[in-house]
Amino acid sequence: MSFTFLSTAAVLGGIGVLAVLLGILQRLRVQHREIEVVSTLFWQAAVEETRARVFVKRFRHWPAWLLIVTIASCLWLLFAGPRWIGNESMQHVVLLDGSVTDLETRDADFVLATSHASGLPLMHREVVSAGSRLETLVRPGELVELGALRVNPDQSPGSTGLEWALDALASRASAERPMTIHVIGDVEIDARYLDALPAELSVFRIERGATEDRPLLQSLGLSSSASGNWQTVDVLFSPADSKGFDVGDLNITVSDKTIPVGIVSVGDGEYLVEEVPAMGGILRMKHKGKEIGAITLPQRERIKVAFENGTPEVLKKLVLLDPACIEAAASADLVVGTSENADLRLVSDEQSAFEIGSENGDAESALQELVAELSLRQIDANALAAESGRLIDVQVIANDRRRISLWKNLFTGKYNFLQSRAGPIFVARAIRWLAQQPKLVPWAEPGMRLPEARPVFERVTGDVATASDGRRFQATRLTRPTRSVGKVDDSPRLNSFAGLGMGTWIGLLVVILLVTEWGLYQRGRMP
Amino acid sequence: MNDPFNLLDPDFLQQANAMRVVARRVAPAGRWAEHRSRDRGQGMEFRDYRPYSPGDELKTIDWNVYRRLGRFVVRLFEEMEDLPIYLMPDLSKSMWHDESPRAVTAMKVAIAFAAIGLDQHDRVGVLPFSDDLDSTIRPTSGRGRLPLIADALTRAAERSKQSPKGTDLSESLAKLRGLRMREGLLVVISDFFDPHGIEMMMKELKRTRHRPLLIAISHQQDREPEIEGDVRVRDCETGETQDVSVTSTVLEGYRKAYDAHFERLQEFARSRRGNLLFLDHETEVMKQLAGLFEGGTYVA
Repeated sequence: MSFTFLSTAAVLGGIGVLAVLLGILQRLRVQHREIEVVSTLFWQAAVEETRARVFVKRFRHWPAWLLIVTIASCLWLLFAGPRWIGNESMQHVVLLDGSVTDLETRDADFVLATSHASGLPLMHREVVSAGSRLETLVRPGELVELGALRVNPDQSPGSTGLEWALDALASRASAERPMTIHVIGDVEIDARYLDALPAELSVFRIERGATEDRPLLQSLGLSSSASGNWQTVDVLFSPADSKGFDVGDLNITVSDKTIPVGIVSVGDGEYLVEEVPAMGGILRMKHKGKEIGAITLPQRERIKVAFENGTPEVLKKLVLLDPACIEAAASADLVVGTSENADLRLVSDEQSAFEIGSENGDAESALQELVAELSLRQIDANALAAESGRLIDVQVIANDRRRISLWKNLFTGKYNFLQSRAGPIFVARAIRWLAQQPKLVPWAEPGMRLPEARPVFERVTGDVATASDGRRFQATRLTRPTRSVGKVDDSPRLNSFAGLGMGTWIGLLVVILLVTEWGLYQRGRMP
Repeated sequence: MNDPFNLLDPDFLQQANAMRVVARRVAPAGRWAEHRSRDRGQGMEFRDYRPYSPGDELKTIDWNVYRRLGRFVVRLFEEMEDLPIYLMPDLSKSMWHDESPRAVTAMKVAIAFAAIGLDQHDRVGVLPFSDDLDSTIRPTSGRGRLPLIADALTRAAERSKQSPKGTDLSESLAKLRGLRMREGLLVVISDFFDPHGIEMMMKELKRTRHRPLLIAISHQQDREPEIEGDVRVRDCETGETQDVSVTSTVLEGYRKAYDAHFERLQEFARSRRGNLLFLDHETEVMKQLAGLFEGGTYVA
């Protein structure tokens, strides 16, 4: 047990003082008025039977004093603000799944978090919100009411999963200072991940109780528009259960404004929201007024391309054929040319035919990704090799920004590259790929980590998540129904029993003791 | 005659004379009176035969029996003798404590019994007591002796009122026992608040040979005192004090002690075929005594 307002020594000392004071009070003599009676014979007998206030002389009724001391001690304990603790060194973190964007649920979660935290040891508890980043709402030693002042009402959706938050918190746990994390929210946590947690870290879930059932989105994602329009994206989603889900009840907003979009069923229970303007902001999907998912839209302006001197004219024309691109000498998004700084760099035939710099450190996965993204498979490498007499290879290197180097002669007529079907496609995709920063996360499902987010996000801001290695991604979040079954145990009720705090129980004990004393008094067991 | 306590109130005495005390059997060697004695003698009612022995009067021989059986037998008749009545009114300090003294009531009860006894030719002894027995008033008989008894009682009462003393019933009973008086009816008229405790009192009561009639002069507040709060009660006889925080519990304990006290006296009286009568000293005496004299007769 610990105390909010007094030290343990002060509490024990106070109880001792109370016991002594009550003992002295028991000895105080009462001012009597004198009455002459016929006989004191029966008074003596009566007083002998009920002698309790003179326990110093006779200990026949010492429990009466004990009862009074118990009541006084309970009141003193109440004053001291008692709290249950299991382990003095244990740190408690109440972790709010801050990615929940439904205001009603978020408010309810916050109330639950502060209520739970108020029962935890004052000096060893925290309330942390894991939204776009970890925000400490209540620090150790602070009253939980302060948390309300720190809640960010305009919190943006964060990444899926809480593993990143658990990882961040786990670094603070040690054998000397173990940590218990009480998760509020129904985001699933991978069981394998939980198994791998260090022994000094325990994760529990606080049961929120049944709430209104809402349709679950199985998946939500976005991709470049199928129409090829650079400044729009297509949003795909699929409800987990089509029962109870009606597209007509769906309301889609971007930055809190309803957008006129067409929702098309594409089969297999999937729907497509076409031509959503890629002007940034958060797209929120609400079903019957309740939010069921949110995703951050990319902000796509027309790509400003600068061409250096010596850039083949045919390449310049090819690039500008894409309506998404405009030529701009100053403040360009991309530079095409032969210099070291060019994003699409033209090099001599002595170097690799295709050298692609990617922010993905894993070369193999980067190559797999690029083969699809840049339509590399469509390039007739054999024909090129025959014409050049050199081996045509694609090298992927890790780089802090995207870059593509390729032979300048591919655009001079020396080779048949431009005449092939692959040439114009490669150029168009290469320009868009280079311009697409941050990278668009195409798909997300509840509980899954963003595939590019490994190892973990270092920080997530409103629009983008930044990985520890510096890469940046768009954030996507699905809202799960609260009835989802957690993969972690329910949080232990450290401070309460049947929902009541320790102070309440002590108060009830005092009432019961007072009633007992009154009952004993009425029955003549106590003076 | 000076009668400050109005003991010889004619109406009162007239009501008393309407009552009678009848003894189931009186001790032998008494004077002739109205009570059947364990003696066989000259009475009217035939009781038994016994063989003739020299010295018996010839007129007592039953000649019919002699004619039939040839043996001399003597006819025995029931002897009628008197019942000694010993009246012990309590004149201790506690009996004078109330505004309307209990001692006066005790004297009236004593006079009533004296009147009844003297009227039926019984010997009456008045033995007032406080911390000791006053045996100066000798037992007497004869209807004309009542004023003398009343006068002696009045003087004893005035003395005790002037210089009241404590109660010592056990000592007084011991002294009575020492007087070796003929077995009779012992009427103790007291509040029975002996500071020496019930045990001492019971010890001496059990030693007495007389048939007891205990008349407790009481007041409603004796059992239900109207006292509240924190008080220091002072015993009017001993001056002893007791601090009491009067609560319902204490009052209940008080009542229990009071009831237990008189239950002991009740048990004792019953064991001796006697009685315990509570007599409220603020209520008319004769009406309350009438409850004891069923049909006007008290069977001792």
